[in-house]
Amino acid sequence: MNDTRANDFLRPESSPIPGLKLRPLSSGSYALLARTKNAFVQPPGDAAPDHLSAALEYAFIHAAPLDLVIRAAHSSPDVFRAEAFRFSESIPVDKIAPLIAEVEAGLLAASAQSVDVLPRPGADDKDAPPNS
Amino acid sequence: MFTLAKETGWPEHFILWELPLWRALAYQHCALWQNGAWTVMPSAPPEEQVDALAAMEIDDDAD
Repeated sequence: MNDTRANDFLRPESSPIPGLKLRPLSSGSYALLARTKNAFVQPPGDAAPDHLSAALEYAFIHAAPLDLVIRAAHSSPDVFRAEAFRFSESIPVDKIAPLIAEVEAGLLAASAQSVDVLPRPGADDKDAPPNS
Repeated sequence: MFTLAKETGWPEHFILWELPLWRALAYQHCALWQNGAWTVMPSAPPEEQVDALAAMEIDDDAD
């Protein structure tokens, strides 16, 4: 494990919004971000991503009561956005930038730990890619 | 998630909602290694690879 990976692994929890405790980016919350087509986890498209809405929806997914979040994420996109908007009204505007930085840092940390799995090379593995 | 639960005994709720994704991926990597899988760093997106190839200088006198 190289230094970058070790540092990412030990990344401390942080809360960019005082008084609002965010759950960590996790496999469950990542699945909800993907389900709700959050711009932070979507491949780049032609249109510029709406990072403000994406950050507020991220905060909703990671700070609102879990049962409410799961229910909203499995309703229509309009219901989800309405719930996220209602929740995000309590977030001060000056905390949006630190929130976006926190989201990006979490996604980078996760990206640094991901690996691809290849078929195991045979006995003569001198041409195999390095095992990470 | 199944692999992590099997290897650690951690409950589903903890793995899904409390364990940071970067740590889950690191533990999954360990489990893959432990079970003999061959893992490599993810490739760069195809667009980056094409850009890198396009930026390479071709030495016409290489032969």
